[in-house]
Amino acid sequence: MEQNTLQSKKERYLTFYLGNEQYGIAIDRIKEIIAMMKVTHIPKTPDFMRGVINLRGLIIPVVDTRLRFGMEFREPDMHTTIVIVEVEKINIGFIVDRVEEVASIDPSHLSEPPRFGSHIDTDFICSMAQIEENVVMILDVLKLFEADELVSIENITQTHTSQGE
Amino acid sequence: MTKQEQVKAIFIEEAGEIIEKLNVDILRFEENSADFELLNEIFRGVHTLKGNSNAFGFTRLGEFVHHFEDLLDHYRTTKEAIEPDNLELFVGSVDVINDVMQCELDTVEELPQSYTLYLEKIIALMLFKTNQNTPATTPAETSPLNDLASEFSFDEERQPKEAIEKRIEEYQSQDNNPLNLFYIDLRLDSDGYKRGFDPLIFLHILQEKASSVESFFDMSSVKSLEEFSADENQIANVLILVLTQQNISDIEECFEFLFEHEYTIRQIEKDSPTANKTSEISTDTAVAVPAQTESIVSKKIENSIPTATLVKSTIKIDTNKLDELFDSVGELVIAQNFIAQNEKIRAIEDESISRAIETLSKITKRIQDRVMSLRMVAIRDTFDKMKRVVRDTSKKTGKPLHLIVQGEDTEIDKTMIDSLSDPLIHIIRNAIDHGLENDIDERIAANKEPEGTITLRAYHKSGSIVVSVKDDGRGISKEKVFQKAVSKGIVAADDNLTDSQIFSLIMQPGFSTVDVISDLSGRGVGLDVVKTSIEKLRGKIEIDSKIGEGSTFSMVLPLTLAIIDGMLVKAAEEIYIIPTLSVVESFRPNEEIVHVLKGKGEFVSLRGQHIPIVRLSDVFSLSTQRINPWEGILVCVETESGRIAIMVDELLGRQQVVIKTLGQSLAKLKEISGGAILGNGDIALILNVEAFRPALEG
Repeated sequence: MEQNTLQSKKERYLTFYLGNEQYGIAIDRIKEIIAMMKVTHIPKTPDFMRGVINLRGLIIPVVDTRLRFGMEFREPDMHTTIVIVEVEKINIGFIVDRVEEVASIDPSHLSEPPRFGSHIDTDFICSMAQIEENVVMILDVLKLFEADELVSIENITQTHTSQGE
Repeated sequence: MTKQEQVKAIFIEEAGEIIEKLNVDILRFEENSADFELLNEIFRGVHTLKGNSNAFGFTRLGEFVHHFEDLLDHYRTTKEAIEPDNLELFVGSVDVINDVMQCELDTVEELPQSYTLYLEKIIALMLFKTNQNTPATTPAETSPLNDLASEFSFDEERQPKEAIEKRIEEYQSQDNNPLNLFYIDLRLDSDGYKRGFDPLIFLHILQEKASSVESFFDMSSVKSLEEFSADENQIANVLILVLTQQNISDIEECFEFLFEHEYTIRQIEKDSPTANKTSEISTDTAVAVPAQTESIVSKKIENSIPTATLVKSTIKIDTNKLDELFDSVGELVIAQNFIAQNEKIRAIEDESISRAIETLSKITKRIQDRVMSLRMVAIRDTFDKMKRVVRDTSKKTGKPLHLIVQGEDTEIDKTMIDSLSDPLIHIIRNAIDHGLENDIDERIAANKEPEGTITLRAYHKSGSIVVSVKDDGRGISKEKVFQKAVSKGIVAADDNLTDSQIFSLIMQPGFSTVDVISDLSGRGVGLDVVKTSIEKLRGKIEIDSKIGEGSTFSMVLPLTLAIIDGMLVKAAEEIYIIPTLSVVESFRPNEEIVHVLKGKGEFVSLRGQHIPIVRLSDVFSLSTQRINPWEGILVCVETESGRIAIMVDELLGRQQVVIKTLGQSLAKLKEISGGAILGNGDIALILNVEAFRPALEG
């Protein structure tokens, strides 16, 4: 902690794992980190929309980040965690494989994300950073959010039209 | 938001409230134009509005209100009886204020035509009144107060005499009050200032000696600015009440440098009969405020409307804050349940712990109830607004009528009240315009009172709130409605419908826009809009009518928007909630009454009706073993497009649940209106049955 306050220029990020890859989200976006809990499925939503949870009386939608990024589904284990992110007063939970640490990254160590082939839509990645041996992909939560909203709206209208009402 | 904008927002809100109150007051005043206390109330509202609107640059509103205020002031000071024509002008003026306020808010350049019209009328009347009065009457009694005086006279405490009487009564009722109460009537001569006296000096001296000092200044003889002279005392008299430990000689000491005729001091006796006292004081003050006695007497006789209910101390709270509080209390309840049901804690079996948990649960429940009640307000204000609607519609249609209002104190969720006005106005207009007979002869021929009666009523009925509008007019002909619906193709001629189903046909969109049988005409115009807005509040409309006796439109609403009564059902291992309000019945069908129509879907025949079956698991594409309808449960629900039977695996029970939104992205799901947290902390989804359509015609 002391180090962090001394080097206040550094941005702090919560890092977590999806499979073997490490990601980061700016700490000021994060509301809390909770253990995996019962998720109520919401019908007629895309697969990555896992459902809603009851967070002390508040109903919060939860996204399976693995499925969101086109990765395979994985049964939750003792490391599975829900990261609650708050953007513009809306809370949303992201299920991740394992939370690693809060890392301080000097802005000068951040670099542009590569623009070539990856199974992840690079739009969500605002920058890359090197922490010791690992490369951390910093996520732009706002974009993740907006895209999610769009996706779910599109999907719902699609299912409706396909029903041929 | 800048500070200025914030202040402006507050003004706009306040102005809205003032105008709303004016609307109500002016109507009451119209009923009883001798109630000058009410006129004063109106005057005060207009006065505040004037100051505020000029301060915020709403000059057009300010201008109008300024003249209106002058006129009101004239009547309130002269106590002149108001001519019916001018009363109409008053009512119209309040409308203009309403419109102009709207124009100012929307920054519309063009003002309504009525603006100039009424403004001219007001100015003309004012001119006429001032010319007529000034020479004719003696200045002491009825001349209109000049500006300064009206600003500073008994404006705030309009009834000093009453206030004093009240204070004295209060004092007398306190038997063991050790303090003495003195009543001082101070009448300084006009050269008082030159002699170094000023009523304020005495107040200061008394203040040092007393535990409470109250004073009433009579400014009525203060001259206008042109004639005003600063070194001359123009305050005719000051009434002072002093509560002090000291005795009469101590008090007299304060005034010993004054002439004897300039003051009187009287000690109020505790044991003296109240009636005697008050009459004495009345005569005392009658000299200073002669005209008021008259008005009070007339008020007592004629004023049957209680004004006391208006005086209630309130705080304005942002509804968002209330919602936050509501949410936090919800969390508290869940946490409390968790403690109460926790196995480990229960295993302790210690009396003091169980007692503490018991107390905790009681307190939690009480907090929950109180927080809920914060959102509830009496429907009175809405009904008051409706009085205006009734009056206007009655005038416009030329149908004399009598309004009965019942259950004004019934409390309704605040958010609901706001969206209740428009539907209510619509129903009332319909009731007067189309419900009541067009001419009085028709009523007399039917053995009814010539005046129509509209009954506005609010009451509780089995967990719901009902707001109903009843007329004693012609009623609706069931047969005609049915025939028309058949001819329009809304229902089939052989459909077997209940009475209420037939009546609800008139709320179908476009039902009455085509030419209709004469006595139905107009009924139903816009009623579909009413229906939609009531359904948005999770309520429904019930119509009851008897030919020749009249019709009743009842809006059945949930107690609060935040809570619904729900039926818990299970399908594919998930729990769902169906709002009980829309459930007609639920049953397990016999195999014989279930029919499968090839390519069309499944039906259940129930008492001659064919109800389509909707499988919940199909609607939500849930993966589950397909069972036959007679192995599951059918929940029959009423929807806009007819009855459907929702098929579920089992019924779990009935419960009151707090509705929570699922968040913006999930709110787009039509079939789900929200979520609710069950006792064990799990979430159950609430179904919006209106969005369920039998997937068959396609």
